This record gives sequence, structure tokens and C-alpha cells, in this order.
Amino acid sequence: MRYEITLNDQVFLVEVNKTETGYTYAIDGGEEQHCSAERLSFNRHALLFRQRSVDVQYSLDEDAEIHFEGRRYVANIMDPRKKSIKMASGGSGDVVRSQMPGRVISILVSEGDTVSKGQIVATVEAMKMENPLKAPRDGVIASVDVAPGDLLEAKGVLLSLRPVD
Amino acid sequence: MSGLPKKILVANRGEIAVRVMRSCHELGIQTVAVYSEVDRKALHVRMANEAYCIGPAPSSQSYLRGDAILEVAKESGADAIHPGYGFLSENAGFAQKVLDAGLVWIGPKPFAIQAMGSKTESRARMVAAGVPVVPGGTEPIVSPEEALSIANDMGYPVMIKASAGGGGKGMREVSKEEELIPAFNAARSEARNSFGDDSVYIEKRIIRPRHVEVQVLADQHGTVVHLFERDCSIQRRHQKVVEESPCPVLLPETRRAMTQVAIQAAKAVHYEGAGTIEFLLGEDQSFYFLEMNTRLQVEHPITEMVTGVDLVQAQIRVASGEALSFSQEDLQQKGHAIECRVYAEDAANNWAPSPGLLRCYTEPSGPSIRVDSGVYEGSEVTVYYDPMVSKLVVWGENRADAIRRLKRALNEYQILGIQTSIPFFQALMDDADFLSGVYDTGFLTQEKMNQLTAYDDSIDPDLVAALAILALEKDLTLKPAVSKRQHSKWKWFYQEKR
Repeated sequence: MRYEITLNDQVFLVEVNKTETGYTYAIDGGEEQHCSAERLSFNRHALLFRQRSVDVQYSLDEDAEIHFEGRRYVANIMDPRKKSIKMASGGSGDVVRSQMPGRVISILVSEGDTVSKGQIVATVEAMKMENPLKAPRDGVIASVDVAPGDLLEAKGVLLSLRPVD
Repeated sequence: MSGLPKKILVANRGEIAVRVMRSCHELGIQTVAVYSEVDRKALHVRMANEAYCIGPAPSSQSYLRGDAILEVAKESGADAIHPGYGFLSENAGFAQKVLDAGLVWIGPKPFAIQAMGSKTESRARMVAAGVPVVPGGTEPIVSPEEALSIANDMGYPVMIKASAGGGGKGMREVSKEEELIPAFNAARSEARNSFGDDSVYIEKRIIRPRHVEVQVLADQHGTVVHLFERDCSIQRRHQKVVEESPCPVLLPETRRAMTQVAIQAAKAVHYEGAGTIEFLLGEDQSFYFLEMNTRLQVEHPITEMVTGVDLVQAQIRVASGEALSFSQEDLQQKGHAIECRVYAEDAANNWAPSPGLLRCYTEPSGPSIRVDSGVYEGSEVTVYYDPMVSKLVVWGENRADAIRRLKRALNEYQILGIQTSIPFFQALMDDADFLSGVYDTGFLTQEKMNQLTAYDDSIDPDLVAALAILALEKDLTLKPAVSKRQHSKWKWFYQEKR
């Protein structure tokens, strides 16, 4: 099985397979290595990379989050096979959301606009602060779902993206 | 009233309500929680013996409603109210109503709250009691000659400030006598142009001030003791972020003088209970009264760590009329304690709030670690209240030891679902200026914040592997073949039983 993993803007392609004693994996076509993984609870695993022992806590819904060796990381995990299907149908997870409940102040793009990753596409007022929202990747605005003045719930969707034609 | 209360209503929420209830339960006292509609599942509600909803989420419609809280006290049969900090804790009117209802108020008398609540009144009282205050006054100064003589008397540097001021307008710093008159005239004309009012006043400028405060405890029999100091100089937007005790730069003779002055200040308002006198400490060890907080402080646990005194238990005992069970001579400042306030905020993004569901939450533990929090895995940090998630308090034999322990403990926190200030603290514990102990209230400049939040972007290959393994394991468990068989097995079992 292959996964495409994005962490801090770096993309890794990992080949991973289950074995009798755990998992084997290879990152970006590198050497195959072994890891033993024991489930502790629904969101905890005890991992052994060779002799290195690491406890992780994680959540793989929506954005993947993991706590690894004292730090929290937000990652994007994609199955490259599903990715092609998703991309063709307009993509999923390719939306601009407000993390906090708040009010839309401005929408800086309109349907059909081409945007690049990191471009500010909207601003939202939440907890008395103006927060710029950025495009998560390059794409074309597929829909604008809110208007200035609209109230948003936490994780409310403002815009959706489709791939560049 | 004789003896301790039987049942205490805690008029607060979050970590402080939980902390107060813990001491109550240790004393065999029943607890009553009040909560707003969004707090039904909050930890303080779960921890209390009884809980009553007092209104909708906004605090003005719930935690600040003294009338509703008094009704709950009556209905539940509580005989005392502990206000925690914030909300109604420094509301003299509410304290009076609690007393009028025949209940015990776990805090100072309304008179003391009132006297210390107003900046001008408390300053006047402190001056009368011989407590040093920042030299200068808010009285407008009209002539350049008067300004010169005042400034010469207090010594340079001084600040000229506009009475109607704000945003730095009409404000001038003067470091030499010959600069005073031109600066005075400039400040006046700027104040006139900005506010239509040219009155200005002069205040002594404290160079590189530190915020150092003294904890006091007083019973109803006239005994006042101090529990040493806390240094709270690491602040952002005038909010404390890290506190430590002892203050790393306070000289023993300054400590002696400052703690004596704190006792004098408390006696001047016939203080009862736990209170805090805040001072500005100058580079030259001069110190000046800032204000008194007539309640328990957020950072009280560091004092508890170095003195071994449970301040909440002491508050309950003295409010019930007991004499303090220890004298000043019994109190010692042992070792070093540090507190980090873990906020649901993104320090790297100008401390933007980050409310949300705690998808994972694990606290540090082990030797000399204390975590006071009001959250748990699966609970929600809402936008309605203070975004403090947890207080991490550590104790060590000395400062270096405490910092090492703090670093270890910060690495043990596992919080997912929200951003927290933990990465900022991890960077702070490696910062040479913080480690030196020589810092002031201006420590967190924009430049320092940029340095501290330039987190390492490198990725550990084992982290990448971990994500792939977890993703595969999730995909394998979601395979229909497996779940279908389990499902039918249960169905079969269920049908057989019927």
C-alpha cells in the first residue's frame, strides 16, 4: 500500500505493508525497514522502530494530527489511487474553512478564479480578531458558499476548490 | 459560626473551580457547582457533588449573575461561597450580598475589596500607610517651573503623560534635567492636538521593571503572614504567561523589605484571607506598589509548591474564623517553582485563539509535577471563556533543576485538536535570556517572539513512517470483509438469545 504524506510542506511517498511481526515500510523508494506497532487504545499506539520506542497519540479524521516525541504535527495523508479519483471529481478536503465560529468580513475571490497555495482568499472575524484564510493548494475556485456578513460555525466552509484545468 | 462550612458553592468554572473543589473534598466539605448551558459536561460540574445551571453561555448571563448564584446557594443549602478568581471575586457588592444572606464569603471583607479596587483610593491609602508607590501623581501640572521642580525631586528618568492620554500620544520620556522643559511643552501641545486637553502629569520611569508580587494570608484575629514572592515578568499584552518563585534577581534584603511592606499594606485595609500585593521592581532593587489583588491568583500554585501551604484550605479556615495554624517563622521558601499557562492559542500567529474539541489530551506527571486543568480528552475549548487549558507547575531544588523538569514535562503533554502555547514554552526553556534569569516585563518583544516561534521544520523519517503505518492500520480495520463477519456474528448471537 502506498501513501502520499504531506508534513510542513514536504511531501513523502511511503510504501507500507503489514507483516506477521508488524509493518515494513520504505520512504521515497529508500531502504525497506521494519516497525512493530501495538494499539493501546482507539487513538494511541506504541511503536518500535528497530529499538527506538515512540508512543504516539493521533487522530486521522479530517486533517490528520499526531503527537510525536513532544510535538504536535498536522499532516495530510493521501492514497495516491484515491487521489486521482478525488481530483477528477473536484477533490475532497479541498475547501477553505474557518477553524473558529465567526463572521465573514470579506471574500477576495470569485467562482472560476485561479488561486495559488497560500493566497489569502477571505477574512473572518472571530474572537474580536480578523483572521485571513488562505488557499490550501493551487486550484480554481469551484464555489463561493458564503457572503460577507454571514455567520460561520466552527469548521464552517467558505469556499471550495477544484483542480487547475 | 463555628467550625468549617459543610457545603461550599464554587462560583466559578474551569481549572480554578476544580482546584477549589479538590481542597473542599480533602476537608470533607460538600461542593456545589454552578454552570452555564455550554458547560454541562465541564470538569468542574463532573467533580462537584451537586450542580445547577444558571443560564446561557455568555458570562454576563451566567457566571456573573450574583442573584442566580445566591438563589442556588439557598436552594442547595450551601453555607459558604468561594469565588475563585475573575468573575465575581473582586465584586464588593456581591461579597456584601453573600454576607447579608448569612453565608460565609471566602475572601476579604467588602470594605477591603472596595478600598483596593480603585487605583486612586488604593494609592492614597498605601501612601498613608508608608508603602512606596511609583513617585509622581495624576495631578495635572500647569507650569514648566513646577514640572522641573517635581522632576528634579523624583530623579530621572521620568515620564510625562497626558491626563486624557492613550496610545502613546502626549507621552515623553525625559532622562536629563535640560531636556525636561522642551519635552514638557511638546507633550502639552501634542496632548492639546490629540485630545483637546493639554493637561499632563509626571511619573517616575522605572527602568527595566520586573513584576514581583507578594502573597499574604491574614486571619480574622489580626495575624498577617507573607508567603514570599512570585516573579511574573514574562507577559504578553500585560497578561502573565510564566511565573516563578523565588524571583531570580531579588536580593535577600530587598525580599525582607518587600515582604514587610506587603504585610503593612494588608494591615492598612484590615485584610482577611489570601491576597496579593503587586510591585514593580527596578533594576536598582527599588520597588513600588502597583496594586493589590483581593483574591486567589492564577499563579498561586507556585507559592504552594515552595511553601507547602494549601492556600485554598487556608482561605476556607480563616474565612470560618480559625486562627492561622502557623506563624511567619514556620514558613520557608524551599527550592524553586515555575508555572506555565498553557493557552489554546497559537503563539506563532500573534497568539490567535484556537478553540476546538480536544481530540487527544494527556497531561505530564511524575516527580514534583502539578497540573491544574479544567479540561479532559473529548471536552471542548469554547470561545466564551478564558482560553487557558491547563497550568503546568513544577518544583525543583533550584531554578536550573526546575527548568530541566519543566522541559521534560512539556514534552509529555499530548494535546491534539487545538493549537496550544506549548511549543512556545519549549522554545522559551532553551532561550539564553530566560535561562539567565535577568529579564523584565518587556521581555517578549516582537523580535523575541519571532525567535521563539521559529520552530524547527525538519521532519523525522520515523514520524513519516508512523503516519503511513497508522493510515494503513485504519484502512485495514475498515475493510468490509472483516466488519461484515463481526457484524453477522453479533446478529447471530443476538437472535439466538431471543
